[in-house]
Amino acid sequence: MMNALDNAASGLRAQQTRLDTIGHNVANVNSTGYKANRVDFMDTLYNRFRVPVGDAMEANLLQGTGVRVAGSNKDFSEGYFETTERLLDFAIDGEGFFVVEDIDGSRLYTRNGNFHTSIEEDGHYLVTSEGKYVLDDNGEHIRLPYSGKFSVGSGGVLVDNGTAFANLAVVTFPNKTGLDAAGATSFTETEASGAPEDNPIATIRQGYLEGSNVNLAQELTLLIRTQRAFTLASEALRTADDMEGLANNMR
Amino acid sequence: MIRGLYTSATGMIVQRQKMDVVTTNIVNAETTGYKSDELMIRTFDSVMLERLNDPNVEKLGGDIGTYSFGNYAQERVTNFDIGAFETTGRNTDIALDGDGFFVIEMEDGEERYTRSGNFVVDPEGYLTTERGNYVLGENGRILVGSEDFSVSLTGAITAEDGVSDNLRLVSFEDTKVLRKQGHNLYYIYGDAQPVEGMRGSVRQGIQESSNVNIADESVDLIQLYRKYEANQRAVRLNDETLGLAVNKIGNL
Repeated sequence: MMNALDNAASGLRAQQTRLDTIGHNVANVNSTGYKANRVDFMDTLYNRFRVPVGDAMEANLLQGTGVRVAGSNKDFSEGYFETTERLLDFAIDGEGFFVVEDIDGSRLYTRNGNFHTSIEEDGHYLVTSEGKYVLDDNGEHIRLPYSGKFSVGSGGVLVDNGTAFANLAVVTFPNKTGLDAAGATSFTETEASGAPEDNPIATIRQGYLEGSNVNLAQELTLLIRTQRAFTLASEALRTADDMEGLANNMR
Repeated sequence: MIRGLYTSATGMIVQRQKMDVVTTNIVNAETTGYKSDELMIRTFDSVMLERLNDPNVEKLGGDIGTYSFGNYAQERVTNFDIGAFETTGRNTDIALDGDGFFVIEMEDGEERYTRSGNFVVDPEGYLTTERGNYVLGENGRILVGSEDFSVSLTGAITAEDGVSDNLRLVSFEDTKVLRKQGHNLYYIYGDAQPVEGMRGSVRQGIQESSNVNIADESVDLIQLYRKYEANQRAVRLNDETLGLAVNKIGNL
């Protein structure tokens, strides 16, 4: 069978992956703290052609086998800050992630600072919009004063009437592009991201939210390019198929 | 007659090989730093045809003329022209505006070369390719710590904590010694050596697009298909003529 068929199919697959990524980015153009994704490609291995004359290696007669996704990386650049004037909205100005406790006790990291109060028997706690506990720098749940009024100082210190009662944890990673997206604009640590490190100098803005960093113009340009590449690959697939047809109909 | 059959077949084989090369270009039209390939086709050396055992020819060896048994793929040439630069704004995207290559260290310690500058920082803080192979500086692996590092036009890297190194860039007297390995990497065939340094500048936050020209490849696709078709027709015609000779001439 002809190599070109699989070759062209690999192009369709690769562009399909990018199309999915663009779709996801565009759909999250208004998601708080969302980070745009990008897909990079690389060529796949090369085979030698069978040649009647000379040496295939010497003549560089190598036959490509297609393309594949090299990596899917998040763009962690800052989104625009949106003023909400809401007391429990926080945005990290600069590097870092808030630490959130997942329902199974594991850690999630997010830049979405749209927090709420959970009223429980033993007090009020700071939680995300999904009801997961936001953690302080000791890994504890954050108990809020009953007044519900507090301010945030430098390094994430939460202050009520002049007394600090907790310190919002903000962590950074050696390779944040290695983080795994866990849904709800939060991430989990992976081997590639490295372990979280405290970022005590983070600046947290109260009353602001960080918008999505998806650049619509860029995404749509990429969408057009992806569509063109997809069309061309499908054209190559059809031509390869037609050529097989010609070979099969020689008699 | 029989010669015509397999001469046309060589034409089909060559166009299929060309199809493989063109398709690889097409699917890599969006691959960072990809360089397009072209298949060079030439005819087999001509041979002299002579008449033998022909009673109408008085002297032995009446010349008919020269004849070539079709064509074959002679060489594949990679076009190393620089692709268009695209701004991404990512610190780990580095493009080479010149004739150089990045040097990559493989798992087995061998060196490979690439023009694709979509790099990442690994958990230990080293600059690597997306597949995790180290990008080499003049002092070996480059410890950048985090993505907050800067690259100057000459390739000097300065990390946040002050650590610095220079990107090791190499160029080649003749890029014909380079062979594609896949994964956007090249290796040297034979015993040529790279030349240290590069003419040109290094750009951070920019990636080099593939240099595949989509219009050219589309035209090639149409052309090679029609040539393949024409050769297929020639094979069929040869076959039909042979069929006549076999089945009709004997019929009285």
